[in-house]
Amino acid sequence: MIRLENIKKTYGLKVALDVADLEINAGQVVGLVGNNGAGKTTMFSILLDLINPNSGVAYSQGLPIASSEHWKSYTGSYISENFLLEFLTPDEYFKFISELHHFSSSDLTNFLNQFDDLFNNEIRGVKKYIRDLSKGNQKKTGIVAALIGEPEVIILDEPFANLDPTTQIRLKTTIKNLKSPDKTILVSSHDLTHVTEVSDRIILLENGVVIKDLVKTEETLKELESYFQVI
Amino acid sequence: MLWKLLKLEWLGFRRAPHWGQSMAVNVIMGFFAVYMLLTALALGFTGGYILEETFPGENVIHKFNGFFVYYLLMDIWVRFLMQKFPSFSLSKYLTLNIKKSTLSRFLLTKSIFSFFNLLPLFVIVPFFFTNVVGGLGSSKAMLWLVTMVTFIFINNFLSFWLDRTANKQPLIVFLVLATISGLIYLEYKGIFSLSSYSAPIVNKLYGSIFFVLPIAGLAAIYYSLYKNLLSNAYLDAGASGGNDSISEIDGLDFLDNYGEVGKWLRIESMLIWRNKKSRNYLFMSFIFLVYPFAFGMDWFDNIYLLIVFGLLMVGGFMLNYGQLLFSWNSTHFDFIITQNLSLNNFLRSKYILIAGSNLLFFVLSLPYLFLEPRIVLVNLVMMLFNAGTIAYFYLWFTMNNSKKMSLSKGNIFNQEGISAAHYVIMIPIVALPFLIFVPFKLMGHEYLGLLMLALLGILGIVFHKQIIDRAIEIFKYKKYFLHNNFTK
Repeated sequence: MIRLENIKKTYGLKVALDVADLEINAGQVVGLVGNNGAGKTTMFSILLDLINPNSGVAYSQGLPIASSEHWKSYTGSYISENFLLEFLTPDEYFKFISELHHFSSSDLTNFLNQFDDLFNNEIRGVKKYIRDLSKGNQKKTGIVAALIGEPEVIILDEPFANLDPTTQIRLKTTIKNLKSPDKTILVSSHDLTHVTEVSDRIILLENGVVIKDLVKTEETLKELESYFQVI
Repeated sequence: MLWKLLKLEWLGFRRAPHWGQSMAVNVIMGFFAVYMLLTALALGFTGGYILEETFPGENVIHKFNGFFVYYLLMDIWVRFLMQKFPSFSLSKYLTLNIKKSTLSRFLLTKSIFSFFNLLPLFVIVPFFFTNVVGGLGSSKAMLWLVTMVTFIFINNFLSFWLDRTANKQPLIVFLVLATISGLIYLEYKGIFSLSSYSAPIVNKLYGSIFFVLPIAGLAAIYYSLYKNLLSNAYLDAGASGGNDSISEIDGLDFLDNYGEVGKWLRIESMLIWRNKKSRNYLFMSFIFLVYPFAFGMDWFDNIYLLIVFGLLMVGGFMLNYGQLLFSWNSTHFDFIITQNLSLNNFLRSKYILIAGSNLLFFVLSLPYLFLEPRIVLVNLVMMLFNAGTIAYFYLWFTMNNSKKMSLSKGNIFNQEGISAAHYVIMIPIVALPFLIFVPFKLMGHEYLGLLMLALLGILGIVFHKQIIDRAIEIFKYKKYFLHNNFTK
């Protein structure tokens, strides 16, 4: 599904990401962990063609991401508020994205209805531009928008950060429910508990290099905690 | 403390991501500034002589004072359009151990260091030495100088106030500017001459104890501006509060029938309409439509002026908005890269937006038909030329313009307002059609020259697909550079 081949990204002498070979198959929920500067966002940005690696190729469904735009049709992502059209209302924003995915408006309504708990009446039907929403509500808007159109690849950077506890718990359920054999989900987080709970596989990055690549077991959380204590 | 803040601001300016890019513009601006200053200097030294020749038998200093009042009126317009005023982009300092009063004074002090305050001094000081000292005697001459400088500072702070008010009460600003324009027009037409009425008053000012009046005025406007800045030294000052009604634009739904290109055009139209800065740019384009009137009625029979004005009239929006073509999307650039919107369609809608604006403004300029049909003919030519050639220049060159803009911050006009550089960039573009037209004109084939401009434009429009495909090849790589600078 997704494959990183000899990817190297450096800024001057600093190595931001250096991955020889990494393959992520459909059906997996992959958690990406690592301290600040480990290369999590860099990896996601390369997968979304936002930055250009110095060498190597990233593939999605066998096609190089940097030269084919095919991945856009089945990839949903939210990394930062730069993914929001801040001058639209949330409803207009959802509608526009659904149009880009050729989603009918009744499909959109059905889709959004399942997030009513998450939205807490503060997002849909609100007469506010996205720029005037709180940071938390902006994030909710962005994450839900990333899920519009049945994407097969979902990339979420730090989805739990800055959300209230209730939303964090609901979001975990949402991610677990999304899991299906034809979907690839990538989630990065600093919250080890959350990320191990939702993931099947954990990739630990440090200074741009994959240090651990674990299939989740009962022991994974402890292993991660002890790793980050020593470091 | 003021000095430290100034130093930090300079570092911020020097280390801005687009510093290198704006270098060329800065150099051109520098040349212009030097040219203007030298012209002013020459005017200052020869002013007395010119006035004597033009108005024999009249008091030179009184005449000068009359023109000075007229200049002050014009100056407010020029400053409003071009002077960049400092703003509270100082939110980062608010929690530090710096008094808010210091910050406010810092902003006011900073506004004094402006070209627009320096320029008039280059006229006034030489005139002071050549004419005033001799004519009035040194003590009275000193008062004259103080009065003149005081008026310049009053203009500076008045424009600062206008600039701040433009965001909150645009109507007031409109009224002030309209009044000034009216006075200038009446003066120009010789119907009512403010300068001849006010000159005796100015003469009285430095001739008596009344010289304190302008100084008191300056103090008052400084103080009220200081209070205004102080009371707005909060993070949420200027924030809309979010209770604004949503501005809907009806009549754009038809665009949805034109695929992704149409859909993005609709979204970008909403961007333009819902953000203050872009809306200001739009309104400014309407000013471009009527401003040739400011040049009297003499330009109708000058084909060169018709071309320049034609280019500006129909291309006003393109020339303004196009300069920041991709910066308008700097706050949501990642959306454009990652969403299911092909780069091809994105660039195409950008092209259609700026090229199509020429058509819109051409239609709006049709009433000129009643004035002089030749204007409309030249406008038609320039519409084709703009859409078929200049539009691509913007598409191409703005890929290198990675200036990040915040559309949603409160004081938009202040923070990243239009500076003189904005107009300087237009100069090479305005020169472009002349490269083609002038050779034909010199050979005596004026209409053939116009035809060539039109044909070139039509060619550009016909081959838009091929040209945009080439642009995509470059944009594919430029987008990393843009993303990098927009997310800094």
